[in-house]
Amino acid sequence: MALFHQEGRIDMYTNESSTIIGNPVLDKERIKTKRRSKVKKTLTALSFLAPALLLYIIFMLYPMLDAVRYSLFDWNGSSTTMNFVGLENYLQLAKDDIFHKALGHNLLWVVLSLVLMVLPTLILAVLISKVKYGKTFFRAGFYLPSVLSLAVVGVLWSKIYDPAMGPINKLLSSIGLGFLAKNWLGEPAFVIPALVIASTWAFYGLYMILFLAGLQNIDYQVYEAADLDGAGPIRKFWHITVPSLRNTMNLVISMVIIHALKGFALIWLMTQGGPFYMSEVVSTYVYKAAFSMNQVSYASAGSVVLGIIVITFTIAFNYYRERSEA
Amino acid sequence: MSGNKQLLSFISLVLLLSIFMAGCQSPSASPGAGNGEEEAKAEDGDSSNTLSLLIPNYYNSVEEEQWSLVIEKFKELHPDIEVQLETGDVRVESGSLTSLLQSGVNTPDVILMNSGPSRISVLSEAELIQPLNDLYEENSWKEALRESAYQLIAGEENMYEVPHMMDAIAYFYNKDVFEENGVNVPASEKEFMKALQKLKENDVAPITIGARNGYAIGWLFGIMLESVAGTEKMEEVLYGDGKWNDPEVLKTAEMLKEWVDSGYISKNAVTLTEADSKFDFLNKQSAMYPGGTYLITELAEQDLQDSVGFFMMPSFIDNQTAEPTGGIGQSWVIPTKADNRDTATVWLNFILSQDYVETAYSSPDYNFILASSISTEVEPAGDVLNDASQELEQGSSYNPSVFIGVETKEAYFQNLQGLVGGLVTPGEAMNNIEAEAEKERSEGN
Repeated sequence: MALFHQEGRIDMYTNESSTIIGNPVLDKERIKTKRRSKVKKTLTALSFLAPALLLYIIFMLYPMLDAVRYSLFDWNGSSTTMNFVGLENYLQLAKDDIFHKALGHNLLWVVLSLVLMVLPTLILAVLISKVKYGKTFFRAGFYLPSVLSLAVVGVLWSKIYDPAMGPINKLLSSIGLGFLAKNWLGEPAFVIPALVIASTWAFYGLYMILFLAGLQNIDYQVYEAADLDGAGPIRKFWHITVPSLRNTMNLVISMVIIHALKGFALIWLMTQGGPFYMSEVVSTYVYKAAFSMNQVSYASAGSVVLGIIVITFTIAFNYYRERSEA
Repeated sequence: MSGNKQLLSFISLVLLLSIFMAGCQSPSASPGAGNGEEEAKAEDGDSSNTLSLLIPNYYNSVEEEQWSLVIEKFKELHPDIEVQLETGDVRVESGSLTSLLQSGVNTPDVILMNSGPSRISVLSEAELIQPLNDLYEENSWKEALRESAYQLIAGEENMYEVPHMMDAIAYFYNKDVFEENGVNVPASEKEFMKALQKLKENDVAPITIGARNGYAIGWLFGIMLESVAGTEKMEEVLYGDGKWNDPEVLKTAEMLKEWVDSGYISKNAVTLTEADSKFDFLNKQSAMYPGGTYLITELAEQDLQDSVGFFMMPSFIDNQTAEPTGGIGQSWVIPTKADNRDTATVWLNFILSQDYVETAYSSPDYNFILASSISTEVEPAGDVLNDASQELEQGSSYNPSVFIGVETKEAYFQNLQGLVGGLVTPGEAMNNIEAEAEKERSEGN
C-alpha cells in the first residue's frame, strides 16, 4: 500500500511540474521533493530486501570471502596469528599430485553421474507418468531412498558391495558368474563407479520428482496430434517430451553437476577417500587437510579452487543453454 | 498514514534483527540474558564444583559399566564435585576433537583422547590444550607415572598430557581355532610362518585385518616392523637418520605383500573396517587379530575370555625378542578453554591413585594397562590383560602411527592400504612414506 501511495504522489508532482516550468524556486523544490521521494523509495525497497540480504551476506557471502582470505595465509585453524603467504597455497596445490588425482576423480564423478542420473531418471519419470493405477505408490516408492539419511545409505551400500557377504557377489557366484565378483570398493577401476551408483540411488528420487512435475506441464494435445500423425512412443519421447522438458533438464543437469563436484558424505562414509587415494575427491582431501592435518589455509585454497570450478561449470552450462535456445 | 506504516515496518525490521542476533548468540556468550546477572553468578559459583569429562565412545556396555563404577568411586571420594561424563569421538584424525575445541562451546574440563606425539602436537601447536608443567611439579606426577610412560612425554619444553594407559599391541588368537588346526603359539619365525601356512591350507583365514581404517593396518604393520626390523631400527627411523625405505623396513613391506599374495591376509581386507575384522575374529572365522587390549571388553561381553589368548609375533632377527608395540594409548589433556582447571587436577590425581587402579583392575573384563606407577603393583583380575601386562613389563616397542607426523601418517595409512589392495608396490609405498616424512623433517616437525 505504501508503495502505491508514494507512486501516486510522484505522479501528482510530475503532472503538476508540467504547469510550473520556468519558476526556479519551484523547480528547486520539485527536484528536492523528487530526490526525497527517491531516497524514500530506495529505503523502502532496502527495508524489504534487508532480511534476506542480511542472511545472504552473513551465511553465504561472508564465509565465502573468508575462505578466500584464509587461503592467502598459513594458518592452522586456531592459532592467534596467521602468516600471510599470498598465493603460496595455490602454488602448492598446483604441484600436489593427490589434489590433481582428487580433481580427476571429481570430473569422473560428474561424467558418471550425468550418464546414470539424467536420462535414466527421465525415462523412469515418463514410465511412472504412464502408469494408470498406483501412480502415487510408485512415486512414493521410488522417492523413498531420497528421504534416507546418507549415513544409512552409506552403511547399506557398503554391505551390498561387501566382497565376501554382499548380495552382488553372492548372486554372481550363485549363477555361476563368480569370476565377475569383485571387491567393488577396493579395486581402482570399480571404486568410483560403485560410489556413483550408491549416490545415484540416494538422489534419483529428487530428480524424478522434478521430471514428473515438468511432465505435467506438457500440453497433452501435442501428444494427440503426434498420435494422429502416426508418431511412435520413441519418436514422441525424443521430439516432444525431451524438448518440452528443456528447462527441467537444465535444472537437473546443473544440480547433478554441482552435487557431483561437492559430494562428500557418501565417500567419507564408505571409503574415506581410500584405498590408496583411489576414491579421493577434493572435498575429502580438503576435509583431511583441514581437520586431520590442521592445514586450514591449504584446505581453504583447495575449497576455493573447487568453488571456482563449480561456478565455472554452472556459468558455462547456462551460457551454452541460453545460446542454444536463442 | 503511510508514514505510520513505514515506521511500523522499520520497527518490525529492527525487532526481527534483534531477535535474529540474539538467536545467533551462543549460550555461553549471553550469561546476562534470561534472569540476569545473579543467575549467571550463581552458575559460575556452581561450575567451580563441576567437572565435565569427555571420554571416547564406549565400545560396548561393559565399558560403560566400568566407567560408571569409576565415577561412583570418584564421587565417593569427592562428594562436593559434580561430575558430568560425556562420550564422543576423540580421534584427532577425524577432526571432531579439533572442531569441538576450536568452537569453544561446552568445552570439557578434561579429555581422554588417543595419544601419541602426532595427535597431541596437533592440539598443542594450535594452542587448543594447555601445558601442564606446573601441575606436574605441584602434584609430583612424574613419580606417579611409570618411568617408560613419563619418558615418552618428557623431553620437550612443555608437557601437555597425563598418560592414562599403555598400549600393548600384538596378536589375539582363537585358542579353539589353533587347537583344531594343530597350531601352537609360535615362538620363532619358522613356527610363525608354519602356523600361517597350516591355517591357510586348512581353509582358515590366518590373519584378519580391517585395512580401511588406517590405524588398524598400522597396528599390523607396527607389529611386523618390530619383528622384522627390530626396536632399534624403528628408533632410528622415528628419531634418528633412518629412512622409511631402508632395506629392513622395505623387507617388512615386501613381507606384507607376500602375506596378501599367499592368502594369509585377504586382499579384501582393504575394504574391511576394523569392526568387520573384529567381527570375523570373534566369530572364529579367522585365527588371529592384531590389536590392543581394547578388545578385552568385547571378549567379556561375548563371554570369550577363556577362548582367546594374546601373544607377540616372534622376532625374525636372530637372538632378539620382539616386544608388543604401542607407547601411550590414551592420555588426559586439559583444553585451553576449560573452565575448571582445579577440578580437572583433582580428577587427574584420582586417575593416578591407588583407588583408581584398584577399582579398574578389580574388574576381570577391564581392558587397559594403566600408566600410573602404582598400577605395576596391582595385578589385573583378567587373564588376557594380565598376559599383556606381563609382556609389557619386559618392554615395549613402537606403534609408528602414534609417533609420526600427521602428513606422514596419512601417507603411511594410505600406502599400507595400497599394499594390501595390491595398488602399490612395496618399494613405491615406502618411497611415498619417506617422501612425506622427509618433507616434515625439513619443516622441522
